[in-house]
Amino acid sequence: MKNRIEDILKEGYLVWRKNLVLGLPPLLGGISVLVAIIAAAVCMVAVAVVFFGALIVNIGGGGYPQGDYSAIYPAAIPFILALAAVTALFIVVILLANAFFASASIGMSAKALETGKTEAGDITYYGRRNMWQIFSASILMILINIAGLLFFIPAIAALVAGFLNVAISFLVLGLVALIAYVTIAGLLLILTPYSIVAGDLGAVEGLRASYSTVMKNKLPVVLMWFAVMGLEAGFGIVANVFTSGMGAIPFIGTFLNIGLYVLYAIFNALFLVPITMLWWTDFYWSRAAKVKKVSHHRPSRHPTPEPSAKQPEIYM
Amino acid sequence: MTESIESILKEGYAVWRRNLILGVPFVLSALASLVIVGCAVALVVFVLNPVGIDFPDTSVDYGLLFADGLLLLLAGILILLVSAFFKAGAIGMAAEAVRKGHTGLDPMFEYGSRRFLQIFALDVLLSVATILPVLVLGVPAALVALAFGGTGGQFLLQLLVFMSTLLGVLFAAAPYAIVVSGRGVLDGLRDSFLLLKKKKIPYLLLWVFGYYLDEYLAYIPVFAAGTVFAVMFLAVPLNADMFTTLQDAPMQALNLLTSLSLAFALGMAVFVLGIFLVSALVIAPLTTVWWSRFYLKNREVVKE
Repeated sequence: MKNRIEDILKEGYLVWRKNLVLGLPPLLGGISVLVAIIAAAVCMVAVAVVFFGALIVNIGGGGYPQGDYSAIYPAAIPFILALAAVTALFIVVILLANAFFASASIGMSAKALETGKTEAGDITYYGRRNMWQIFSASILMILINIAGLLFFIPAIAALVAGFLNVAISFLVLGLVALIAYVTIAGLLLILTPYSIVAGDLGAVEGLRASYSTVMKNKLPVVLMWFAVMGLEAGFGIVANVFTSGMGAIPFIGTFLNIGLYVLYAIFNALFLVPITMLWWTDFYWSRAAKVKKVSHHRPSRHPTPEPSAKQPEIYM
Repeated sequence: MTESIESILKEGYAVWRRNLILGVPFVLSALASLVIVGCAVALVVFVLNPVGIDFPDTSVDYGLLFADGLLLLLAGILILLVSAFFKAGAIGMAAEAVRKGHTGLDPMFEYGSRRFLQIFALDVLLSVATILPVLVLGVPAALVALAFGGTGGQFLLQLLVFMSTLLGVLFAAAPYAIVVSGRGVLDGLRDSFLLLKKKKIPYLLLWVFGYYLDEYLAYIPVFAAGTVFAVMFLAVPLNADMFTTLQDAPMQALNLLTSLSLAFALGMAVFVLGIFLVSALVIAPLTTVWWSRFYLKNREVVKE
């Protein structure tokens, strides 16, 4: 079993080189989230059009007494509820899409690390396998982050009691505590999706496994975390030079930059995300205590014959 | 098999814990730079440009301006020389601590006096190499963009960030080659590049680890400053109906302003002191020990 971070990074790169198809789930995930956001925007506009249309008809038709618009407020409640429902629905849709593609990505990464090969057909199999557990874990992680807002309760209490300076003091302290809490919680739970998929655990067990693995491997986890951030920041610096250079061009610079942003997003999906997933999956396997290493051979009723040596490999 | 990056970090940390004296060169370097800046500013303000009560001449004195510039340039060179001395000394101390397990202040003077000119030359060379492409490529591009109604400021800034990061990564090990192995400036640059080429992953990991450790440890002074500001704010005489009564009570307004300024100033002081202490006593010596250890364990590969 590999233990050196250097070996994990090298192995991850080599596996990615042989399995460019690993970029497909993040790419599809990004597209589906984009589509969901556009659909949400369209739905919200539709709800707004219906509400304001009814309002205009009511005002024009004398539905409200002249100059008295207090009746509008009760009429706005269904509009607000409809907007909240649309927002909640699309948040759930986006979380589900993310969970599906994260599950697919990590499952395929695990298979590629274990067998050396994965393929596009694995997306649906691995996507469905741990989607609900990752979705539940995402909700729990959101709730854990939201719990950080409790740090502001003393400030609110002081404000309600009329102690303005105490309220501002507690607000600053609450902000300091919130930043520290969110950063530390994010780091402690960083391995959750990998423990769920690579260790085949439930949502709560995944959170626990991430916590215990991080606590037992503080330095390696921080090292991996910095390595991932460094990789992203390194390419980010190069991208910034190009985008700022294009941005300096009058008139067409903005349009050229839109193209560059799209290209960078594709590069991110095809390289940065898959390689990061490979690294963290391998890291989890090599560092988690008593890890149940689940076989990621995909069961098949119709085993495909071994490809001949001359057959070209098609990854995308 | 060469030592893993985790082992280098752990062992380096243990060496630093046993030799907290490794922070001394960085503290002295910062203090010396502060003294030089203070002297230069005092000379410019009080000797070269004495502002009397009657100062009727408002025309630009180019001779004086040149003298000001020359003095500030000399101060800059002096700061670079002094920091080169302490940097070489710190690397020498760290290398000795890695080799023998303990160190004192003697290697600081020994390595500092022996290698400071090479480190100074390296710093100047790298600064020129960072700025030159920005001047040659970035400034004309920015001027052309400006002529056509665009703005090139962001491009210049990003190019500068890119160049300093690139050269910082490529030649991170050069000072260690110069001080520990007694290499010349160009050989030091070459050795650093070869070390990166042959030990890509651990080299880059070490660089990234040092960079982000610096960034995240800077949260500590920020949090400390925030806490001090928050505690000081308890003494600020604020109340809910203050805004209606403030205009009628100038003393109350003055009190408020004074205590607010005090809280802010104390917070800032804690922040500056915290950044200085964390940087000079923790981050700089730790990264120096790690790089010294990494260089000592891997320097054979550049000779192959």
